[in-house]
Amino acid sequence: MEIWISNLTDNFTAEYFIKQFLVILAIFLTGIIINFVSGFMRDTMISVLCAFPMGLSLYILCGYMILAAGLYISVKKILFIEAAFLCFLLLIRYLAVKGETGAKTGFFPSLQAKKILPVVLILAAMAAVSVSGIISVSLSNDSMYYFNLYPKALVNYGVLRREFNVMLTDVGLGAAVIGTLPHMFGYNEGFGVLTFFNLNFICIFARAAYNCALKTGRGKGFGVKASLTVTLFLLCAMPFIIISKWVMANVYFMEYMFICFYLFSEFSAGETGETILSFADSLKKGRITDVILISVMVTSMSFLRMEGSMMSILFILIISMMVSLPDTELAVILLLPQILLKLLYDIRIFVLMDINAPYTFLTREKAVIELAALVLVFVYILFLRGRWGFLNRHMGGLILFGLVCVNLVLFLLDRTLYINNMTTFIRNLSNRSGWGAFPVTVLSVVLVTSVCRLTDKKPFKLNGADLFVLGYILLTFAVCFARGNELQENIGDSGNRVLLQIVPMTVFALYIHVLDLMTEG
Amino acid sequence: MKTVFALSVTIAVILLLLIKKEYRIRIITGYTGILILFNLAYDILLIKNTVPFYRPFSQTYYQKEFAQGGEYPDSLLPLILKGKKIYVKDDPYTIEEAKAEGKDYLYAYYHGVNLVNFAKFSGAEVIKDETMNDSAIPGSLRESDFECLGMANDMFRYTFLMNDFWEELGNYFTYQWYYYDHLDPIFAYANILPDKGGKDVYTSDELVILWDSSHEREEEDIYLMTKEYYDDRIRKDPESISSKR
Repeated sequence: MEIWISNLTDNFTAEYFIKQFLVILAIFLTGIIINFVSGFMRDTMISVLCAFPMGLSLYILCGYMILAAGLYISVKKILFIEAAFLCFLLLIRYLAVKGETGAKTGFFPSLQAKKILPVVLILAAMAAVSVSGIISVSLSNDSMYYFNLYPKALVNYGVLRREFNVMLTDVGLGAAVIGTLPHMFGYNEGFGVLTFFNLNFICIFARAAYNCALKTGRGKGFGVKASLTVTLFLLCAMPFIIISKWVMANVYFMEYMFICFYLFSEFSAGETGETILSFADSLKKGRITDVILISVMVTSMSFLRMEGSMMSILFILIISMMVSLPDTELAVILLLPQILLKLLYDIRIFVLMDINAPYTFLTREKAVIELAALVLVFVYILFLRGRWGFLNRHMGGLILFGLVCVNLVLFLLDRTLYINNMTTFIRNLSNRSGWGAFPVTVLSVVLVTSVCRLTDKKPFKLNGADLFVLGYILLTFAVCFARGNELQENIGDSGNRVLLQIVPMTVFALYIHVLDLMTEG
Repeated sequence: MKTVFALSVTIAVILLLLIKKEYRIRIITGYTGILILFNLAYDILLIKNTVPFYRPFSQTYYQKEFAQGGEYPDSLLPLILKGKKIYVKDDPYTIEEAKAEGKDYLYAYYHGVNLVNFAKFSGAEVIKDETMNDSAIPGSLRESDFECLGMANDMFRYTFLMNDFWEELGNYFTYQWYYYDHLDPIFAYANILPDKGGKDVYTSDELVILWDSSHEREEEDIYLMTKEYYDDRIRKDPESISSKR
């Protein structure tokens, strides 16, 4: 029978390969046009490396908007929205260029064809390798049904239906929209898109590590070696291998989280962090368009998983400490789209469709809490950010303290559930639930760097990455409690997978500390 | 074991860093190398037993390894059914009839309907044929001519996405209870041999799916074949007439 099946699938292989390859290139092209038109980060390499994530984010958001609005999803509508967004960016760019005086600046940044061409050729080769099937993937029940059948239903029926039932409350609509790609464009599986996203991410990670190493002042040679070493370490980490290959939403969330953090780190590099820019200055310097584009990624990331909004709140709070954008622009660009789109979706499923199943992950109450939390952060950024010295100086600590308090409250609400969940987390970390040698490695590095810091008599300080990792872990405990039922000790348990998502950020946070050690040495 | 190793390396590195401060960079480089090799060794030893990996050369969700384990026949069936005419029985059940046969009342609602929905969802045109209602697969043909594609309970369980039933009847939890908790395994079979016209289920444009109705069981295995095969071997075979309901 295997031979018959092999002969059967051979009928589709070439056609599906070409279609998926072309879709990857189309997404990349969309992203690169958007990035170049807006002069993204004024860095050609970042524009190219982040083109695919940007293109994919746009697709996610367009699909989300259309479905949440109750419209029929189609390629034409998605292209229309993307074209409208491009026109919007052109307008912003025109206003920015018009305001610049003195130095010659072109309407479009220099394409630097000599630099871009080899990169684009490499990316095309990567796309071919990604789609070929030579790089393995991992499939589970959730991959087959939540990540394939549900998106297929979205394309078949074209709209969100009440009959989709728990899919509407348990599956992030953003992830489902990614899953629509094969069914929209006439092929069968989206493993090539996933693999390409992984390879692209590894390049971004290596670039981020390189930039970080350059800041030590030890030269480009050191930067290359350090970057290669930490990237190799990430590639050898069992949790990263598993999550990156597992056909689920977790891989996209994990990698978008890092990409967004890296972009904001680059964004804030060179800023004093003390003076809040005016709108005119932000516009002129291209900061507004950068934030718009990063916001596209942050917003689409928040829709990939049901707990995504809570994670993005933590992310945005930390970012608000790092960047000197005006409050209004930060709140309106980074938060408002997420609030409005989430509200739109929640109204559609809870009010218009009246979804009411015996058990759902997202309930009306949780949806209200999420929206309230988003609005609170919006109000904080608009009215409180930068106005209280105490808040400014201790924001990081306050975030962690707040999360500890939340966990304490949850513990008091149901001690048995909380303790059982914590015990399960520890068992998953120490047994065969996909963590491998990573946890003990992390502990080892933390010990070594801490002891060195003590003996060097340097103060212990948390950087943005540390803050995010610690905050994420505390938030994961809280989110898993909110699930209602106990976590399971196995690799596929959703709580375990949510925790696995923090691996690249953890590796990067440790890398920064190791670099510090080597510099001080 | 991994804790002991990690602890030993950690202590050794800390001591070296304290004693040989001038060699800090070399020590950290060596330490990093050890950590990479340590993690790599763990991956090589354990990762294959942690999750299954597949190389998707076929460009489809269905992997050749699924055939060996009888998994996910519902990712193979759409590749076969798409664009085809599928003939099925037209034998609805009432709740009273189902109960009279000792079957759960849900049988009356789900019988035939979920499979028809699945076939339509897979891109097939479904034609109900009353004349097929009494057909069944004779035991001899079942053994010789049909290959088992695997368990189909999950395939049916997730057809809740495709139904038009009212709330409780059509929701995920009722489907889960019925197909996952209540019923025993349901299997999907296919005749993959060429029929008299030289066509098989992939190359033929007209197919038949029979569900194996029985008074004794609610679990209805499904059989996929070409219409030519059905007309030639099942419809005409007196052994293939099932007992009347």
